Amino acid sequence: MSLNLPPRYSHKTGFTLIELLVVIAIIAVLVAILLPAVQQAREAARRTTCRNNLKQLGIAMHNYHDTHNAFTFGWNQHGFGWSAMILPQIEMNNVYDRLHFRESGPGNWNNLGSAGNQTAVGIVITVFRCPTMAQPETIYDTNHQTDRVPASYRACASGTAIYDWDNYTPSGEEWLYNSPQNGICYGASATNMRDITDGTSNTVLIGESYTDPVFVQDRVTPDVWTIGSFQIDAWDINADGTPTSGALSGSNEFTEFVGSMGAPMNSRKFASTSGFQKQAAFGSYHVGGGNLAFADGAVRFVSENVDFELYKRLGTKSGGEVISDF
Amino acid sequence: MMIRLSARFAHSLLSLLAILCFGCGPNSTAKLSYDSLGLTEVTGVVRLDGEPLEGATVSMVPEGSFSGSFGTTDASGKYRLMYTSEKSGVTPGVKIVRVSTADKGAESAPGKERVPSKYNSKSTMKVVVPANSSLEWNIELDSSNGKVNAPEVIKEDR
Repeated sequence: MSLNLPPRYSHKTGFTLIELLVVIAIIAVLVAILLPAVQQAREAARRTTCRNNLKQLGIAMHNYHDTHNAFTFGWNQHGFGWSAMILPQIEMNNVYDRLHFRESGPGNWNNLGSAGNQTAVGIVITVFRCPTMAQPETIYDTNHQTDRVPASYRACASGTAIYDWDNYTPSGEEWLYNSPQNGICYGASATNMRDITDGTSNTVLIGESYTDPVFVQDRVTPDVWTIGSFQIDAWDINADGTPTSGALSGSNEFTEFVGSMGAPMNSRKFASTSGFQKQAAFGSYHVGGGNLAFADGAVRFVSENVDFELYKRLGTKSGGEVISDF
Repeated sequence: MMIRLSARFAHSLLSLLAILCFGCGPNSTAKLSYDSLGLTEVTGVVRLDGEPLEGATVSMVPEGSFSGSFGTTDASGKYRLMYTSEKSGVTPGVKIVRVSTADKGAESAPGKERVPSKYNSKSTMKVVVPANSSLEWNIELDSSNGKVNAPEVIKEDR
């Protein structure tokens, strides 16, 4: 009986163009609905990983405090950052063992022939990197170390500082070079838990940063790295922590390891802020704010629209200010 | 108007479409909006005693501040003032102009100074930069005479 039917009703498999277009249209609508949701879910997962990283670093800082009875310094006169000191606490003893803590000779950051410190800064340690950060694993830094690893997290040195270098002479606490600073981790610091009189839940220990080693404004760059830097070695300080006058053999790029609450959160995302604020400020590649680890170990996502006076108070460890809920 | 497509072909076409739709997510660095700043483009040539000055930093910075726009001269003395590495221009207002071959910023070692100090560390050259404009200013430096030419739009503010 099928022999007399027109070809249209034959049993050959196939789609008409209309059917195909309808299917494509339906799929397009579904994709348009689902894609943003999927991407948001992926970003939420990355943000959670970032919070977890900060939590791990906060716990590592506490373990360091238990061992040494003080939080680690933000940076020291040998060119090392806080992240180098807690390597044993994050099970990176093998990297820690490669480091040379010396003023001169092999291992000095200025000596480009030394292998230990130079190779250590090229090792990718994922706990120091927020997965949302749109930066490559290593960057060839021609001026200084080759193949450095951009990092996401910096210790909080201050609630007031904006500048880090000595070519300018801003007053007192605006200047990271001045030591002691009013945060927890600054130059050659050894802050004990009892020094945090504002309360550990009201004081920021580590914050997320908007790392971007390519961007330049006011001739400074918001670059953040792990372990140590050529550009801090050697930072000349007296025994009491005050800077010596002049005669610097290194540079003062302290913001590679510490940030400051003295610059508004996410300054990098606003054109009107200065290059110094963009460099010193905490921030993130997430939308609307950034994660901050407090000295009690808690990690909170703080909005970039938070009251700036309140935000600054969170950076000082013993300012005696009243902190309202945020 | 009837096209026969094999089911396999249609299937692969749809898969391809789906893959195309799931591209890379938004994952680039921040796009800043500079429109509200009213930046004015400033370019030109720097000459010291008539000779093009190479490797000099030209800066326009408000008095008492360290934040402004900077540019570096090339082999023919040309400069362009940059607000950030991605955006050129100078914010409007009163600025102090400095030209130096020594001051290369915090992250580079200082060079040898070839420009008299009256043009950099002791500079009193003040200019008023208008908003949303474009200027070409050839800076003629004289190692004996402290005066600097200023174009019509950028007037010395005295």
